[in-house]
Amino acid sequence: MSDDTFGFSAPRKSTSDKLKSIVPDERPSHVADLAKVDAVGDSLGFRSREDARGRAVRRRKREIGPTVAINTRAPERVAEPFIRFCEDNRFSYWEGIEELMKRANLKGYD
Amino acid sequence: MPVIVVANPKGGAGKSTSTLVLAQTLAQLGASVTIIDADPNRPIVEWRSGPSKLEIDVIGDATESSVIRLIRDQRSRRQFVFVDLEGTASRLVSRAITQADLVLIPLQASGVDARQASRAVALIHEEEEALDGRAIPFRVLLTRTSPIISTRIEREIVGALTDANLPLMKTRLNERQAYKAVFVRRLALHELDPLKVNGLPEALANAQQLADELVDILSPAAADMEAD
Repeated sequence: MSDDTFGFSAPRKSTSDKLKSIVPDERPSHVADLAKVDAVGDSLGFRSREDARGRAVRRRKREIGPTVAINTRAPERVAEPFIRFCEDNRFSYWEGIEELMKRANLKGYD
Repeated sequence: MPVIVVANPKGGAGKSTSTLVLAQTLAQLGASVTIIDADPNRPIVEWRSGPSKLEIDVIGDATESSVIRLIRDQRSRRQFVFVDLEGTASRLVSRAITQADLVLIPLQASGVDARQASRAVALIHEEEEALDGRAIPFRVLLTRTSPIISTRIEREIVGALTDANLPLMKTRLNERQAYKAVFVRRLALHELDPLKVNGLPEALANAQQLADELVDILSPAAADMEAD
């Protein structure tokens, strides 16, 4: 009787061997109803970011005048919602601060 | 055959690094590989313009209207087609995912990355319904992890993924200087000089382990089981 009755010691296929079983795919590709897919994407915030010529839409840079750098170390409970707010609204961080100041009707800021 | 779409709407999650490291490792093993660089910053197009002799085709300039056609064209010619997507929630991302045999969702162990990754997972689930139930397999890949210790937030994220029954790559892409060096030098990992790049053997081993796991997932027998 063999020492390996159940064949557990058979050599494991190497990655190079497995690669041979992966070949270019001639089968028809996955068909997608784009209208449905786009509707799903839109509902989750995955919207078109291109203009009619297929170029990425870039926000026009505003003339912002002189700037100063503010470096701050914030607690996670403050930083994470703030970063999320900026990402959800496509604000840079200074634009996010400006928006919050506007919403707070901060005195001295208009 | 396999189309691997690398997506996370959060920028800086490690999409381009994961894509390039995996593509290089598979190409070095002799596989034919195309990368469609759909990131507007074009990091992989930039890499291809360097001196690396590794045979990887890179296609830039994918748009919402061309990305599906580009993927379909490449999948019939190459063993692996990677699509490196932009770090934005966009229609380009949602359309590319429809063609995926596997979506890889890289994320750094941070709350912000994880929340954005969850948007990609939600999109995949919704698209599966829109595609009449076709399963879109996916894996979450932790990136820029320490090879030595696991941070508390990392353990929490892994716990949350496990609790939600979300599939996680066992291998993590560790933080390694070599992964940055491939972009700076525009070379393949194996073309870097081990005297100039710290931890290169460890990076090569990590990349190989990740590629092994990917091939295990994508080999026809495993892929059929996943589809069932």
